[in-house]
Amino acid sequence: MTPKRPGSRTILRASFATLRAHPRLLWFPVLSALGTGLCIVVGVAVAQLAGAVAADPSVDLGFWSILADPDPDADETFRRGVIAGSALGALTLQLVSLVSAVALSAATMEAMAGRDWSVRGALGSALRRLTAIATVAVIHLGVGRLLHGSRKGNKKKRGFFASLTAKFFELAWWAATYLLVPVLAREGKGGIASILRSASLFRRTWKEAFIGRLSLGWAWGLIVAGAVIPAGVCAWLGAQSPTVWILAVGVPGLVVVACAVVIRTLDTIYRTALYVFASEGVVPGPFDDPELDAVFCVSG
Amino acid sequence: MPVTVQLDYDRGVPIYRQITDAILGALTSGELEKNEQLPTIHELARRLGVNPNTVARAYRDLERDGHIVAQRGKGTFPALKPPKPRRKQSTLRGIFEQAVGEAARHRISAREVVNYFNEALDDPKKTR
Repeated sequence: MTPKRPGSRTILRASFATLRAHPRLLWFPVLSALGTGLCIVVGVAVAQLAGAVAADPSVDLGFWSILADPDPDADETFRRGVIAGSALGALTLQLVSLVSAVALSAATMEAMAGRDWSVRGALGSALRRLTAIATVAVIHLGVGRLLHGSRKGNKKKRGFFASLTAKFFELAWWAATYLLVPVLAREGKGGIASILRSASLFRRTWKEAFIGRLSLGWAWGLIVAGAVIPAGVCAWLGAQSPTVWILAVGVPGLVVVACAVVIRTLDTIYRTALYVFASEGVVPGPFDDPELDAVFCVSG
Repeated sequence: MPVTVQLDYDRGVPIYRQITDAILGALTSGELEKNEQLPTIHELARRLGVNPNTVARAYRDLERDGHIVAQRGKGTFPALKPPKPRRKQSTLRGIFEQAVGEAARHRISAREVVNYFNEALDDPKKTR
C-alpha cells in the first residue's frame, strides 16, 4: 500500500517539537529584531544629523561638513553621501540578520544532536564566520538591488515575459541560497563557495525545500488572515472609537509580530534539518518520524 | 588509537557513507585492532560535529554486514570472525554510490554515468 503523503502539519509538528524542546532558540530572532531596531535608530539619528548639517553650513562638525560644502557640487555630494549611508545601513541590517540566522542554525544542529549549546556560544561560532557572512551579505544586497531594479523597470516599461523572467531569477536566487545559512554554520567555507555548495545541495533536495516552504507559507498565511479579520470587522461595522481600533489592529499586530519570530525560527530549524539530511544522508531527530519518510525520501 | 575519520563535504558522498568507509579502511589496514573498542556513537558524533543519527546509521550498516559487533553494556568492537561476503546487492550499491558521488564531484551528469556504464557493459575493452 502506498503510504499516505504526510501533510504540512507533520513538518510543522517536527519543527515545533525541536523549538518546544529548546525554547531558547527563539532568542536568535529576538536578538536579530533588537539589533535591527538599534541599527535603524542609529541610522535615523545619523541621517538627521547629516540633514541638519546640510541645512546649516555654518555648523562645523568635522567630517560631516563635507555634506554642507557650499560649492556647486554640494547637492551631488549630499546625494552620494545618502546613497553611501543607505548602502552601509542596508549592509549592516543584512549582517545582523545573517549572523543571527547562522547562530540559530548552529544552535539547532547542536540541539538536534542532543548536545549542549548556549546562545553566546552559537553567536561566537557565527561571528567566527564573519568574513564569509559579510561576503554573502554584499552579494545578497547586490543581487537584491538588481532584482528590485529589474522589477521596477519591468512594471514601467516591459511586458509580461520580462516580468516573468525577473520572477524566475528571484526564484533561482531563493533556490540557490535556500541552504546557505546551515552551510555557513557548518562547513567553514568562504562566501562564494558557500553559495555554490548551497545551490548544489538544493539540486538534490528541491522537492523537500518546496514542501517546507509551502507548509510554513500556509501557516503564515493563516496567521495573517486571522489577524486581518478583527480590523475588517471594525471597518465593516464602521467603528469610530480609537480604543476599539487599537484592540482590533494593535493586538493582532503584536500577535503577528510574535508569530513572525516563531515562523522564522521554525523555517531555520526546517532548513537546518534538510541540510543535515542532504549532507549527512540521515534524517536528524525529531524529523526521523516515519510519517516524514516520504518528505525526506529516506534511502536505503 | 582512535579511528581517523576525515570528512569531505565536497565529495558528494553522504557523511554516513564516509564514516562507514573510514572505519572499514581502519579495519582492513589494521589501524583498528580486533579487541579495540570503537568510539561510542555520541563520542564520534561530537568529534566529527555531526548528528548522532548519522554515526548510528554507519554503525548499523557495518554491523549488518558483519564488520563490527555491538555488545550491550560494553560497546562496539570489530567482529572476531571475518565478515561473510557482502551480498551482491549491497556490494553493487556501494560501487554505484561511490561512482555517482565521484561523477557529481566532477560535474558529470547522471545520464552520462548511465551511458558510460552501458558502454562498459556492452564492450568492456572500449572503456578500459
